[in-house]
Amino acid sequence: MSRQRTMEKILTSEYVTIGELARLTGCRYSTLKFYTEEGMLPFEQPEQNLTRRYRREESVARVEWIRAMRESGKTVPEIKEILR
Amino acid sequence: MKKEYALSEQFAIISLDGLSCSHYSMAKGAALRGIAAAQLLEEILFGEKEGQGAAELSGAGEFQRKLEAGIDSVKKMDRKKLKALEKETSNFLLADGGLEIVPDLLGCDMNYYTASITIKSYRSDRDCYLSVTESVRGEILEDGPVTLECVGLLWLMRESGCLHDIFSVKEQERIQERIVSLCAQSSRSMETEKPEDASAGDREKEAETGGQPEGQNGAWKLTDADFVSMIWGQEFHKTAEQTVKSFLKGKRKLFQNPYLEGINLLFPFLDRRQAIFVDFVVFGTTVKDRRQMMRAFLTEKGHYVEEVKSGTETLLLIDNAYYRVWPKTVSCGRIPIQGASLQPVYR
Repeated sequence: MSRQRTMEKILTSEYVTIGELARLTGCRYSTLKFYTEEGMLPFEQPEQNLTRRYRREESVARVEWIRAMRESGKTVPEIKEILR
Repeated sequence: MKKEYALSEQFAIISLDGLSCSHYSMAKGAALRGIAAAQLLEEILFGEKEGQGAAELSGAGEFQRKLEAGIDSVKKMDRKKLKALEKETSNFLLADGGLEIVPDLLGCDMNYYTASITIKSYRSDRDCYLSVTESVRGEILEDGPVTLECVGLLWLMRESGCLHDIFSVKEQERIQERIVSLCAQSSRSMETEKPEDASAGDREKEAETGGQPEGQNGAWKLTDADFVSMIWGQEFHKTAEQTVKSFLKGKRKLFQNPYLEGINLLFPFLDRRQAIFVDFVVFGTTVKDRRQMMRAFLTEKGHYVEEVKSGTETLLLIDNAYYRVWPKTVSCGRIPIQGASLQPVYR
């Protein structure tokens, strides 16, 4: 068990956890989990037992993009369609 | 959120949110005791006060002794000391923008604002509040490594009775499961000497190697199981606070029952602080109109109000808590007054 990573450290790392992604984007954990389960937010899981990790830059950009789409009135199925 | 807060400040952001800033209450007492316990953890684990952390303790026994002695002093804190702690913590957070003082939601109730009664309460900055709570939620509800801050915050929330504000009943069961599994993982180690920048990669590597406690220079290492079981077994709440907390928990559980969810609308005295009635013309209005009128009124009074879709219904998110709007008529003497009541959404 280690200490929580500082924001400075998170902002320089390649991968982040879902909790750190919530800190970075100000998005709720349940929202991020939903986007992940819907396949809208790509993640990596090197082995079955290891935690899911997200590429920081791509994930933050993707969350911002989804948020902008939602604000413009697009529904989740429509956003999924665009992502395909 | 780009701000960094210490454990005690993170806990203050969670626990002081929505509490009256001018009056002492059992809830505030429990929250302040939690802040004192958080400062104790900072001191013992990270050495932020005396310049020495867990790494410099000689063993689990010393860690436990320090923890128990500190918790004893937290339990014995009187109201004067708690007040001083509140002043110290709130002044810092108010200056930093993590906390602000706003009119209490109860002050928006018709009976209060027509009598010109002003109640002030603390409100946490929404971004800071979300950042702290969602980060803890993300860590504990997902499989994977858990940080010291996360376990510490969960323990503080449990002891000060604000766990159910952030986690649903199902999520609380999941937390219990994870804590039990963390206690059972006796082979994994917690590298207390490791600097705070231990990356996720390091943690994964630790998991891959089985996480055997390998101390630098043979230093003593506190294992995950030791830390979690030691901390989870400690209690710092007062008996009176615990009794009131149990009563409120029972009441809340009762309100969570779908058949009794709206009982507070009929009998507002059951939970007076949550029975907010606002008067406006209801006749001929739609659900959306009433929601918007309520929103406009509360925004004018200085509250953050946002409409949040939840399935087929739309809820109001008022200062970090969710509410439904119900049309209602109350009578003052013989005069009926139209308006709407807020009904809290119990998770």
